[in-house]
Amino acid sequence: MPFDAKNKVAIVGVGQSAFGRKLDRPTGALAVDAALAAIDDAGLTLKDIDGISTFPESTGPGVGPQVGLSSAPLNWMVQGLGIEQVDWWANGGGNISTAIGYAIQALATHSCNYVLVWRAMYQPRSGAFGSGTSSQKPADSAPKPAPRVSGAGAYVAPYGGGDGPTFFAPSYMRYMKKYGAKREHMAAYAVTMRANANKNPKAMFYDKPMTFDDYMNARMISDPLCLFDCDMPIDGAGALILTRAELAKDLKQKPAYVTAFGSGGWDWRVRPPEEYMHATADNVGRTLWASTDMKPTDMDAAMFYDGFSPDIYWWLEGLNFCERGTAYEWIQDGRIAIGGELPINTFGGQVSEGRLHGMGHWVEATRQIQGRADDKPGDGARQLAKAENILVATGMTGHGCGAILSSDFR
Amino acid sequence: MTATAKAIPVPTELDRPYWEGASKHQFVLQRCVQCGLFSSQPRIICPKCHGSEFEWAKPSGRGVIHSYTIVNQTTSPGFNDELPYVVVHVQIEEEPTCYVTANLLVERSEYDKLDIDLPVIVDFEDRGEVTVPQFRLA
Ligand SMILES: [Zn+2]
Repeated sequence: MPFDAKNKVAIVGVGQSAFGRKLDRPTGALAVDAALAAIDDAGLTLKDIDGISTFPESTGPGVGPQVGLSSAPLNWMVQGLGIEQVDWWANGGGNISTAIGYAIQALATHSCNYVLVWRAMYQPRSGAFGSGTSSQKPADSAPKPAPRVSGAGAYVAPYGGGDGPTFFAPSYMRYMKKYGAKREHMAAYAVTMRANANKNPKAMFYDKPMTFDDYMNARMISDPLCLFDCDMPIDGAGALILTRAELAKDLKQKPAYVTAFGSGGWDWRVRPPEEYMHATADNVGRTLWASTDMKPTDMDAAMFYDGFSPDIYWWLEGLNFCERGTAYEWIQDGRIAIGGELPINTFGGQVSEGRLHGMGHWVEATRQIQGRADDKPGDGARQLAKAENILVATGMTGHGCGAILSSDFR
Repeated sequence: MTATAKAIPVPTELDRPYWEGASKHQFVLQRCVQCGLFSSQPRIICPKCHGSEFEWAKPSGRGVIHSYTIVNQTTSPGFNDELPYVVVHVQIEEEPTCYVTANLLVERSEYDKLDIDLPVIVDFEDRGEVTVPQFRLA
């Protein structure tokens, strides 16, 4: 029997900080901006918040211990916001979707009444996550000493395999070789995301259109991942307010009810590429669909974590939208565009809005369900005509969480 | 001259035999005494049988390319002058759950011919202070 979250919890407020490349404003301050915006959006005050949850526990990957400057963990935000008392908190969980998942469970079991969840991202000034150096910088004249690594890193770093694209590219390579997918197929995703971002003033690529040829000519990072397959690192923060359904209906915004929930994950094997990625989506799918009578065809849209664009394939297949090895064909011909059969990441995804490690997906799913996805209300830019049930699934290295948000009880 | 040299693996109490083996051009992997599970990185408990006794055994050194990437841009110290280079995940022939990460030592003119499931064999690269296991096409 899966966790029964049906109709018990709703997202009732969203908040975003400024987004940008190497902003002057520290990460902790951006997190406070997003949190206060979300609390206000819900029609609540800071005093109402009796639950808090975030990821990560301390600092982001590769950014060093600069609490408040480059990260906004729980203990820092208690200071930043001036929180006097909470009844419930959760710290970490592997990614932001698990922090949201914990909040859903805590509310369903009456551990607290109003939970604030935030995710703040820092764009490393050195150039990339997981590195102290940047390939873009001119070489120093004096050689630096070689890094010395032990433990798990000793089996990766000496082979130049330490950065994100190199870690994730082999999964996509195997998928392509196994099923016959080409870069031309992925262009459909990248170009659709860019078109969506062109309707989202918050997106990093809001005013930069992209054509099929732009995508195909993009420089390769770790083959087959090109520049536009990688999400865009930014400084920024997003926040959500969640509450129980009975408390939600009296608030300022229309509730986005959680009507299905899945959080499966983990497996002992040192996952090979591809199978490892499939496992996350499969496990979220298995537990999510077990929690509801709804089916993939009942979804009006989907928000899928896209740290790298092939993530979309694992999600579509693992969540049963299409058969294994067919997602690359399934996404063609406008199917995933706004107005298509299953619009995906209507805000542009992380590849075109910017990397908020999944929070952007939850914010957009909520706004679509609430009927306020357009930044200028009523301009019809990206608000879906029908947005009654939207699947959101984020996280992607062995564990994640997914939920269906609905405009009414299901 | 690269600004930074490649990362140097520093053996721990747990995996010293792996790196000492490599320095003698011997490929050894940790194997569970009870059930025979090979692991690419040392364990203290076997996930299959919960045994905690391990030995260092010599697999054949043969396997197949489970997958790979050709790295065109990197943040890894010491690799800028190597671009584009190949990072490969090798599935060893003795154990389908055991994957070893390395570089594939192959001419750039051969990159177009790379594929999943190609047979490979272990090789070694001496880097002064250390020797690291590598693979080449078999
Ligand atoms: Zn064993």
